[in-house]
Amino acid sequence: MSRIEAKAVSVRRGGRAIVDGVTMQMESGQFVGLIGPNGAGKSTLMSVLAGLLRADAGSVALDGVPLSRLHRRALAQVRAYLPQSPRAEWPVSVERLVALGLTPQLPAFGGLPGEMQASVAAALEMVDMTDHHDQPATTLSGGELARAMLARALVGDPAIVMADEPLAGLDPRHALDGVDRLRKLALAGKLVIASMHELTLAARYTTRVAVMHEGRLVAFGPTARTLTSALLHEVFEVNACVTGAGTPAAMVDFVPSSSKPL
Amino acid sequence: MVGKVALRALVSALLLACILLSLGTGRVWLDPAVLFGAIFEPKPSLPWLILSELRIPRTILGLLVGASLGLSGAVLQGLLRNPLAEPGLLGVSAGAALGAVIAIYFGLSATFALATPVLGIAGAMMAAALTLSIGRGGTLTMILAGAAVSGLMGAGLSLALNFAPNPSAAYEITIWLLGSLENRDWGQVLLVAPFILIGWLCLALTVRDIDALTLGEAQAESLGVNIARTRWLALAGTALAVGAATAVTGSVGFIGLIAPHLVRPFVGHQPSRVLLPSALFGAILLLFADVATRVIPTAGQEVRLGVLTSIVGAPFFFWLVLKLRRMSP
Repeated sequence: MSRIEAKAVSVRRGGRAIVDGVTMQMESGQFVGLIGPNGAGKSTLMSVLAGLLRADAGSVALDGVPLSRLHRRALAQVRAYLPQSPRAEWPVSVERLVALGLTPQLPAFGGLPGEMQASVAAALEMVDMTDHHDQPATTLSGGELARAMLARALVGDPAIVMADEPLAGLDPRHALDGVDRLRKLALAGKLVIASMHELTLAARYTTRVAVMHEGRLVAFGPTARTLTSALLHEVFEVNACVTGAGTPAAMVDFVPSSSKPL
Repeated sequence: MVGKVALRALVSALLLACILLSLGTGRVWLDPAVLFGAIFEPKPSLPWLILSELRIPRTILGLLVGASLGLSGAVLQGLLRNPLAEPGLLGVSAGAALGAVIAIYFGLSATFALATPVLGIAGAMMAAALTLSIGRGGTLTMILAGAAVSGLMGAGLSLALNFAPNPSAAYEITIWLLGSLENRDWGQVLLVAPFILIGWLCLALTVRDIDALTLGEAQAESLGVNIARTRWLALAGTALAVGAATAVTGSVGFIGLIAPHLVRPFVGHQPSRVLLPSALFGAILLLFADVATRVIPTAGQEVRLGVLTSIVGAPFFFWLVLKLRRMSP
């Protein structure tokens, strides 16, 4: 059981609060969708929650221990983080790319121990990338790369998976596939936190939504109760129509708020 | 795909051939029989003297310098994830050159033979400290700081040439800058070896981190890599190894750039696996170039090492640019 607690977290840049007094608690088994307009502070909040960026005020604790007191390798073993559109810088094989996810578990020198090769194979299997194991990672398509990166994040069996816009740039089939995998991870007992702009997918798959607006957390709770037309109108400044939030048939549709008939 | 064993055998054979050539070639040709005779019966004969006082220190220095260039080139390309990165990028080589030139300029090298390498190492350290203190905080700022430090050190070199006390001093400085392994003795080898070995250690410690950097800085940090520490180790290692190397040989370009590219496709592009082969290839290339300077027939001066590596290295650079142009959209 893992639990992340943020208390009054604030991040300031150039005199402006990018994240402003965010307090929230999340725990294993939840799939938290972080939503909000561009520039609302989602990525910054995610970096703070992942322990990559230190908050200017407030604190984040993992199972009651402040992140600032955890060793970076110890933290890396329990939480995986995927930044926005991750890419491979060298044409290494998919297998080796995935094996990099085991970096925190490895000794300073030497190759990959045998039992770890089994975890790499298992991670590849989990995202259906076994056939591509030998292919250079730079030649993968967007959907394949997203799956390879997810395998990279999962190979060390972390308790917490954080992904910054994991569905960005994916076609509908791959986006559905991706969000479904994240949901299954949460069902399997992990804490999954993902920022996303695909509100229909958020309404269908997430168990909780955290809504950010101008650095503040304006709503946080179970998807069915929290994701409402009124909230979306307030945050995104569009007329939204939300039906069946929190169910597999949920729909979110938008109309510009000051639109004239076409 | 070439087998791993075959590849290792090939590299070892090449290295051994280069070492033997380097020991045998020169104004006096020592054929292998004489070479082995001199090694196994160390009695003060002429071949033995040539070997122990000239050829062996020169060959060892060539190995150390070439391996330093190849290794630091591989680490820097991995750290900066830039195929054009090379040891000179961080201002270290220019700093070493400036230190050595100051020793020549003030005539210190004439009174105390080791003054040139000692001041060269000091110059490399100062340049590295400057790059590190200005370029703290990011990879891009570190590259920019390195460029600025290189420029500053280059200005110092020009100043020394500008105010050279007499034409022969200016000539001596210019010739030294072109790089050479000629007439290097055991004193210089023993002076720089500790710096180079500590430098190698620093560079080797980055091995896991540069692998993780294949995923970019954000993911590497999320995997527990302390990027500031990695940057520090890479720069300090380069300053120690390449700084000390440049301090005794003068500027030898392109080897640090070329060696990693030659081996990368054979090791599956994984940054950590490039390090050792790149160091070995750096040594092979440098020894081979040094042998070439001895056998290329010239009227007076022998071709300087740095000139030769530039003549061979520049076309390679063109090829690299063309390859990158094909790959980018």
